[in-house]
Amino acid sequence: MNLIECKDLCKEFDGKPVLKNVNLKIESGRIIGLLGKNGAGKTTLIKIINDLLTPTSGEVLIEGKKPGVESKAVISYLPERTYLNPDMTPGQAISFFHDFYSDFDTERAERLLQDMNLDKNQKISKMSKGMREKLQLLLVMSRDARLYVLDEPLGGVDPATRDYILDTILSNFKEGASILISTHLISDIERILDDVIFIDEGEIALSVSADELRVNENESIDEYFRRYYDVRKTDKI
Amino acid sequence: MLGKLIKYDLKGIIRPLSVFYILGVTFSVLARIFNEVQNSIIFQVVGKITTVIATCIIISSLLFCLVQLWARFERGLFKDEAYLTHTLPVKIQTIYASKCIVGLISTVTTMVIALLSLFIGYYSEENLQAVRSSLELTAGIYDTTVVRLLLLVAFVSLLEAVFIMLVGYAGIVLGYRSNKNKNIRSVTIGVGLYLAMQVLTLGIVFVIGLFQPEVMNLIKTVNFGMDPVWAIKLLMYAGIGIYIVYSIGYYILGEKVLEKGVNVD
Repeated sequence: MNLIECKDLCKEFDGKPVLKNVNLKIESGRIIGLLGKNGAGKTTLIKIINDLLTPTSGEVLIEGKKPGVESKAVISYLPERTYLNPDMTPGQAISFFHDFYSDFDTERAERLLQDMNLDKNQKISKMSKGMREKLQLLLVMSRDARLYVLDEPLGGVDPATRDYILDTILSNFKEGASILISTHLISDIERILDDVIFIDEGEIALSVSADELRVNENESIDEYFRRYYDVRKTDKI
Repeated sequence: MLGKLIKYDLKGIIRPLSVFYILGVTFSVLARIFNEVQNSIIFQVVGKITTVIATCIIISSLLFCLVQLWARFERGLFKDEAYLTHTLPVKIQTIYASKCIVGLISTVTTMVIALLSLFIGYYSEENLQAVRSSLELTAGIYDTTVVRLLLLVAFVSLLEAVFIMLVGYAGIVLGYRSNKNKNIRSVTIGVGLYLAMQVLTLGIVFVIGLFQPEVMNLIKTVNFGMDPVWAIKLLMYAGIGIYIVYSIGYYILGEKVLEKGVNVD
């Protein structure tokens, strides 16, 4: 059974289509890059998978079921914004996750907290943006989820920290689980990808194995991505 | 899961409210201390000022409680924190129930603290006697006991507060069905729903009046003490029943709309 399956998925905002007939299958045990320019529909697709948006038509199935309590128990989601109560401390956030997610590993979270030099008792409202992002990442990666959905985990982070974030992701996700990473910073993540999904103006432009793409096109994913958009731009002109 | 949600929701709402609680009680104590000193004009002036401040804080704590509840509801279900709320492995009905139960608990707590602050600030033998006399008089008119009357007043006040809270929640839930001007829509829908229910209540009372001439007479010329007690009681109990039905109705409305799915910003 596919981990995620999108069937004729459409989403409109005030009549304006943002996702157009998206058909997609994601298998277990893969690291998938959801790639596309800003505004291509990556976040919208991720929000629908996480039950944060209702599709206009079509459906998403997670392990054969519509998004709900069961899917939320197996998906660990890192949004692109700060979602923690700013009055909490990292210690309280860890307790919160421990209370609600049965797959949450408190020891791993506390170890990562130390590795990241975050103060357990500092209020989240007093933390910098980078510190908050690190905290959210450690909370998300401390779960033994079947699918990790990471929306722009590298956005707004310096190159050195990007490597650290990628290492944290790779060294903490459960074996056999899948990771869906949305980003437009392809060169930074392409080394870890098994599959790539290109999304362009709300449509799936390409869904292929990363190795297959590299061999067939004889170039890196980043180069292919740039060339793809250059061609699109020329076509439009 | 409901218990855990209530625990975290309560922690979140009580923290900002406790500032008002502490200020209200503190100014009530100060007012009491300054007002006790009779032979100093300065103390009397300061006493009057602290009394006014205490009263303002007590009244505003009730309003602040409602505003905080709405703000936290919006933040938790439709703003940044919604990204966590809606990805918890919990049914949306449970999340909504938690918000409503916490609203009820914090409203009761705020009312109790407000009464406590009033008691601290205004208690004296004369004041107590005056309140007792007026309560006994009112209870006598309505053929009931003081305790029952107090319980009834407390229940009606709580019911009104819960009704307003639920109208606000329903306004936010419906306002966020749209993709544009969500805040303005939420406020407009909330106020509209509240006014619609007030008009409907008047309509129901009018219909009762059509069948009970004494009730109609009561609506036209309110003259407490002269009007038939049974008619006033009938209206009071009808009002309570109507507001219970409205509150349940709005609770179900909010729940059903949320069940259809959300569109988080």
